Amino acid sequence: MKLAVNPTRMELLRLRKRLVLARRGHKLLKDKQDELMKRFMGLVHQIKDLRLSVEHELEEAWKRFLIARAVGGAEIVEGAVSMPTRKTCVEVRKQQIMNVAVPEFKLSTEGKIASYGLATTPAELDTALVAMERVLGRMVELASKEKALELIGDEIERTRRRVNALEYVLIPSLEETIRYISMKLSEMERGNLTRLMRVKEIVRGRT
Amino acid sequence: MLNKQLALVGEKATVVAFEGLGVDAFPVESADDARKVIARLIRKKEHAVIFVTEDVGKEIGDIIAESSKQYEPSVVLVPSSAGSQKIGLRKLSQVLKRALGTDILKIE
Repeated sequence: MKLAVNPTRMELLRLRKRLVLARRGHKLLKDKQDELMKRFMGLVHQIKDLRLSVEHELEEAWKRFLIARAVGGAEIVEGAVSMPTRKTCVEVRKQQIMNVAVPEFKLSTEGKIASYGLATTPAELDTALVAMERVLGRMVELASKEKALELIGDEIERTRRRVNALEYVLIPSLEETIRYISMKLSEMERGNLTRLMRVKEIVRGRT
Repeated sequence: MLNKQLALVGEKATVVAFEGLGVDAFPVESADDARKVIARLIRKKEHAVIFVTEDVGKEIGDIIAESSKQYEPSVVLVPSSAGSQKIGLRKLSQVLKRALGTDILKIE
């Protein structure tokens, strides 16, 4: 689509500058998109494997806990785990991937898991908690990677829109307008020339 | 660098297990309950990671999808004790579809 501008030489020069800028922006964004895509694909395959193994391990851990609950009795087991001495938190570190802020989580723990009386609780509870503890670290890793994937995916979508807007809307319309102005200018030039020739003929006829 | 907590939202019978590891457990009874709890957790931003069991998460996909655009927290679907229903994987394929226009993993 042609832009609504006056067909003047100044406008033409201005549009030419804009076209150069738009082309450069397009190239940069395209490169950014390619790099984001590369990171994205790398993450996708890691996450798929990680998720499948986490899901499997977690199911095993749940099973162990449910057995412990059945053996020891719901109240005793729930009471045992309800007052933990263990402190678990995650360190959140901000990371920049291609200018996308991505949080990185690292699990940090202190204190012991077994904070309950061993006499009244079933042995299965101990193994269940150990299994859960093992899977928790990987769950946090999964959380970190999935978040990165979501944020990068979002950025890819946005970048693609921009690339397409430049490639299919702005650059063609600039090119068309530039063509229109230069045609109009040369048309005016020709018009001017014939007018001059005609005037000269009239002047020559009078003398 | 910041230290933040972990949260787990799900059925009472199972989520309490993770309390023993120092994870904040939030047992919920119904989808409405879960919606309220998770919306509050996301708003407060005290937890960096919110694990949600699939049984609970399948009812409230909209909140979870919304949170995925935010920097924090990370809401992760994990299978409940009943086994994986592949909802977490399906969420992954949705992210793929949005970013690439196609699901390259062929999860469905």
